[in-house]
Amino acid sequence: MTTPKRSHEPRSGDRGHVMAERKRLRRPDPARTGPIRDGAHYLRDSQSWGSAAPQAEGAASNGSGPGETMEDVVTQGVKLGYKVIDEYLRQGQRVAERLCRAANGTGDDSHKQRDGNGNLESSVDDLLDRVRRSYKDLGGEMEDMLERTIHLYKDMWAVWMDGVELVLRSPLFVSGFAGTENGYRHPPPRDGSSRADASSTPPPIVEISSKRPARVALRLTPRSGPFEPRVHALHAADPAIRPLTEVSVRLEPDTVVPIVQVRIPDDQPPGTYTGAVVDRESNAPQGTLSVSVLS
Amino acid sequence: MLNETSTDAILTPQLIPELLNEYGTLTRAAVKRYLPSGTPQNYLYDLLADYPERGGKMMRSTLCIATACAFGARFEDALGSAVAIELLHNALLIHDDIEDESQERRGRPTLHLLHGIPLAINAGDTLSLLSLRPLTDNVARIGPRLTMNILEEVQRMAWESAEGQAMELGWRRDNCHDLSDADYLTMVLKKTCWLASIYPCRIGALIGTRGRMSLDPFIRFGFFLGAAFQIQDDLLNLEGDQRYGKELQGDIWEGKRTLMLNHVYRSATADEQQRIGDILALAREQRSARQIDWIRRLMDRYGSIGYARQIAHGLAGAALHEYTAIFDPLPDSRDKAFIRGLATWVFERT
Repeated sequence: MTTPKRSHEPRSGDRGHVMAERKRLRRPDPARTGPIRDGAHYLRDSQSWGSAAPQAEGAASNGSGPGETMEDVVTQGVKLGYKVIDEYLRQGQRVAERLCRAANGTGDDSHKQRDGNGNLESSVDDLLDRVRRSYKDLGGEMEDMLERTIHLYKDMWAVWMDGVELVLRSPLFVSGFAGTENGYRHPPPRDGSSRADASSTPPPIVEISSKRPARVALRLTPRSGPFEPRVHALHAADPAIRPLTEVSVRLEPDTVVPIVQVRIPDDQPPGTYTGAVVDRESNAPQGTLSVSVLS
Repeated sequence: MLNETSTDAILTPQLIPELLNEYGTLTRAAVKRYLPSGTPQNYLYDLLADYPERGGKMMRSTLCIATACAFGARFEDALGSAVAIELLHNALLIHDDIEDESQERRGRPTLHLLHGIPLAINAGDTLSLLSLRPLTDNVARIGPRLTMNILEEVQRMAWESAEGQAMELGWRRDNCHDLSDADYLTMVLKKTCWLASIYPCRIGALIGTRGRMSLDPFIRFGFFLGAAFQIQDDLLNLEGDQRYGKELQGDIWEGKRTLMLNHVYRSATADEQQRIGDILALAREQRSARQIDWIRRLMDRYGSIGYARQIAHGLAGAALHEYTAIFDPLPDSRDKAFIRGLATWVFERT
C-alpha cells in the first residue's frame, strides 16, 4: 500500500496550507457582525488557488456561520453550485474560443468543413495542418506527440469516411429515433406526402410545433450540386390571411437530409400555405414547400 | 424544495428500483457476454468478473438507457454504451480502491486486498480497455458518426475524471486544508459527475436524437444530480447501515476531503483544527479508531452533517430545475419519470 507523503511546500496549483506544518493559530476577530451572504464570496477566482486565503476568510466564504438557518444553507448551496458550474462552462468556452482562433487564423470560418467543391476530407486535412502549424512553437516532445495524434486522426478519418459511405445507404443509419412532440423531430410520413420529387433527394425530416394537425410537403427540383436552401414566408390562397413566417429549410451537413422546421401559431386559420424554396446565394427557385393546417 | 406532491413523486419510490432492476438486469447480462475467460483465469479473468458480479446499483448505465429512450431511441441502440459505462465504472473502482486504500466494496473485501495490488492494477487496466469494445461494436448498430461522437465523449469524460481524482488525491497527499465548498464541488464535478451523470445523459441524448441536440445543458443537470448523489454517498459513509456495502467512516479513515470534513475544520477552534490536521497528516494505518470517532463527534457538534445534507438538498432542487428545461418538452414516459425521480431517489437509497 502507498503511504501518503506529507509535503512541506505547497505546489503550484495546489490549494491551501499544509496542516502538519502549522503553528498554533489565532483566529482574528471578524470585522463583520453577521454572516456574509454576498455570492461573490462563495467562489474564489482561479487566480487565487495557488495562494492560501486567511482562515477567517475561508470560513466566511462558505457562509456556514452559527446563526444560519436551514434555508440559508440550502440557498447558499444552490448559488454555490451555479457559480461552480458557470465558471467551469466559461473556462471551457474560453479554451474552445482560443483553440478555434489558433486553428483558423482569422477565426471566421471555424465551422467551415467543406471546400468549394464539397470536399470534406481535404478540408479536414487543411484544418489539421493549421492546428499543427499553430502548435509549432511548442516543445519538441509536444510537437512529436501532436504529429502522431494528427496522423492517427487522419487515418481514422479516412476509415470513418469509407464507413460512412457504406452505412449511409443502409436504412439502419436513419433508424433509432422514434420522434417526439413539441419541436422534436418526426420521421417522414410513410405515405410519401413529404417526399421530395427529385429522386436524388432523401426524404426530409419534419419538425412541427403546432397544437393542430398539419401536413407538410417539400418538393425539390432535380439539381446538379448541393445548395443552401432558404424559404420565404408561406402564403395562403387568400392574400388577406396572415402568412406563416416561422418556417425554415436546411440540409443536415453530414447526410444532406433536408430538415424542415415549421411553427404554426395557435390562431392560424386552417388552409394550405405555400412558398418557394430558393438557393440562398442566387435566389433561384429550387422547389416548393406547402403546409396544410387542418382544422 | 423536495416536498413533491405530484403523481411523479408518488410513483418515484417504485419506479426507480423497477427500472434499475429492469435495465440493470439486461445490462448486467450484456456485460457478462463481454467478460472473457481463458488463461490466466485466476490471475486475470476471475478478477475482471469480480466487481461486476458483486452487483451494484447500475444507476449510470440505466441513466444512459433511460435518456436515450426518453428521446425516442430503442433500448438496443443504447445497450452497448451502457455496457461500456459499467465496465469502465468497475475498472475505475478497482483503481480508486487502491488509491484510497479502501477495504470494502459492495460488502466484500476490495480486489487488491484479495489478490494484491499488482494484479488488481492489471485487472483495472484490462477492464478499462475492455470497456472500449462495446463502443466499437456500436458501429454496426448506430453507425460510425454516432460511434465516433461517443468515443469523443468517452475521451472527455475520462480526462475530467482523472483531473478530479488527481485533485482529491493531491489534497490528501499534501494534507491541504482551507478548502472551500467551491473547491469540493469543482472536484466532485470532475471526479464523480462526469462519469455518474453527465456522460450517461450526454451519450443517451446523442443516441436518442442522433446527434441533433446540443449536449451542453446536460453538464448542468448532470452536475447538480451527481453532486447531490456524491454528498449523499459521503453522508451514508458516516451514517449508513449494514446495507451500505463500504467501510463505515471509511472516508475519515482515508482522509477524504468531504463537505463535512471541510465544514468541521472551518468551524473548529484553533486547537481542534491543529488536532484534526495532525490526525489527517498520519498515514491511514497510524490513525486510531479513537481519533476517527473524535472527528466524527466533532462533526455532530458543529452540525457538519446537517450542513452537508442541506447543501445536497439544494443541489437536488437545482437538478430538478435543470431537468425541466431539458426534459419537459418530451412526451411523458417511464424513462422520463425515472430521470426526474433520480433527484429525489438519491436521498432514499441506503
